[in-house]
Amino acid sequence: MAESSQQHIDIHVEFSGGAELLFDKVKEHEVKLSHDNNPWTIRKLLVWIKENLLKERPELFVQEDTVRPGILILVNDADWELVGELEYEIQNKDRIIFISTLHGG
Amino acid sequence: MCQITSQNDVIPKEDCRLRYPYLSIIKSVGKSCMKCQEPATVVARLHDPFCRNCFLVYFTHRFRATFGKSKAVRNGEKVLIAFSGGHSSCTMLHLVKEGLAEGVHKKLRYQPGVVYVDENVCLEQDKEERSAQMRKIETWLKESTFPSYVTCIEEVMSKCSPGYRLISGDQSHDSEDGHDNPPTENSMKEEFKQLLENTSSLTTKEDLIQKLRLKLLKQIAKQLGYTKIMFGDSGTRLATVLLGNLAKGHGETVHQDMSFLDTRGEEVAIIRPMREFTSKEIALFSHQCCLQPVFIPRISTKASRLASIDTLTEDFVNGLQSNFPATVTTVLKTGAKLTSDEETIGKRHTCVLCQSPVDSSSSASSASAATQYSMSLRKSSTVYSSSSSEPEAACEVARDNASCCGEGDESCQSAKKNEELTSADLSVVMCYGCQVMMRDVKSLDRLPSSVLADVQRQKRRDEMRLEIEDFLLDGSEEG
Repeated sequence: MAESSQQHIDIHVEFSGGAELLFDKVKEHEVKLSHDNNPWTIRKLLVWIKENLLKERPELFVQEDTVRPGILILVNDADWELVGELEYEIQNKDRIIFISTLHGG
Repeated sequence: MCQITSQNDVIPKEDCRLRYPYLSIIKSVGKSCMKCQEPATVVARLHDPFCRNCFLVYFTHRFRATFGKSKAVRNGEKVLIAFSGGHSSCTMLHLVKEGLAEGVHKKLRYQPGVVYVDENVCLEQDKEERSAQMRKIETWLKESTFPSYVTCIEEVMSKCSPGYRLISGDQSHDSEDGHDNPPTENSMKEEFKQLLENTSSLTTKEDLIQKLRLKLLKQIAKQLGYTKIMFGDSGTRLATVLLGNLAKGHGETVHQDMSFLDTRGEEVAIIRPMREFTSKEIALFSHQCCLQPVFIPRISTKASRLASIDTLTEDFVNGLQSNFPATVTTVLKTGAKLTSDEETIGKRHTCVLCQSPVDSSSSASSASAATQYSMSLRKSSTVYSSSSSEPEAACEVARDNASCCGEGDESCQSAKKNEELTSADLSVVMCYGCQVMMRDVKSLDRLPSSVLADVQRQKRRDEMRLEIEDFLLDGSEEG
């Protein structure tokens, strides 16, 4: 009776402002998140990024369960504060951008 | 759809909504723009939601108002823009270009130029990456349509004036200016590297690079006839600098380090128009305008938060700012109230590194006097013997040397050239903060020759002043 079809959420993740250095200098990533009982929130995505995409120095990107202060998150070009910050539920085809504002400009 | 009126001349011609079709499916938590009630996309200032267009208008208006209010830049003045490739610099350059574009209402007409300082010598990069970065930088410089120059940080070690490369469009400085130099000689690169290797802590390295970069920019601005330099330091960066400077001993100069107009130094002043914005607002603006900043790693880029005073302070300010958005404005407003004693400024020397006033008149009971005393006790007699050597004795030694001028009046430079710089000398020619920094530099002779020359000149001047003190008319005696 239960559906066993695995649904995926496809999202586009970008890193800029220097954050890409922690991801092998790759700025853009196409990510497939497998669907399960819990919805994918930004909080869950950060854990996933730390375990799967981050190549080095996790303390420079995440701090406890949120992103390090100084790194902005934009969800579909809107400030993440306007969509619920860590609790925002990620939809299919979302575009999430991490911009580092640390170390000058 | 927001109305685009003729005043909204900063919206890029390309409609960015075509690039970002997802703007329409934002699930807002019920916030609409405080100006036009459209769905908000950005949270700026404290907790003010703005839609994209209103944010761009607000940002641009704030930038222009900062200029207008301060009246620091006059019509026709030549202003050099210090460009580093990051978010702040790109945003600033973009706004300057938009502000001077044709058809803009009430524009302030000044003449900008752009300069980029290549710091590859501090952190050697992969050749391919470096050329890719330089290409992007040069694209930015050429697209600005202003006269643009590229120089290298090691040019500050130059014995004559620093060299630079013209990238584009300066009609008045064509071929007659012999300083359009090809890439630096390797000797200056080596000297600069040795200077950095002689410092043990990252704090000192960062501080030294920053001070020497500023010195180089001032020299170049003076050479090219620019009277002001524009820096893109954001409010967040300045708050970090302020708190960091207090920790490093530069407390006397905090006010000038973060003010809009910094008039230390005789001919070239500094303006900081981006100080009204937090780094978040700047990054959002640059993203909304689809600018493409160039990220160039620096020596502290992947450093841990405890690696230097600057990294720790930055971590502190950013952390506090994320929970209390009024942090940066509060720190800056407090810093603006800290000014030094105006009365004694005219009588002081200026520091050879940072052109701040040197507090040589500090009383015997001050903290700095106590520190000097305990340091001199620790180092015992070697410090005193070299600095108190008789001028005639030094000349005596040099008399055998054919280059001595034979005047016997301290104007002889042959002996003085070979004198080693001691920390006692520094207390007269450097401000307290720079002295503290110099304690970490093992060999003071590795400093750029222009700095050493300034030190010697100041010393000779002081010694001469001491000689003729009795004959000088003190202003207060005039009846």
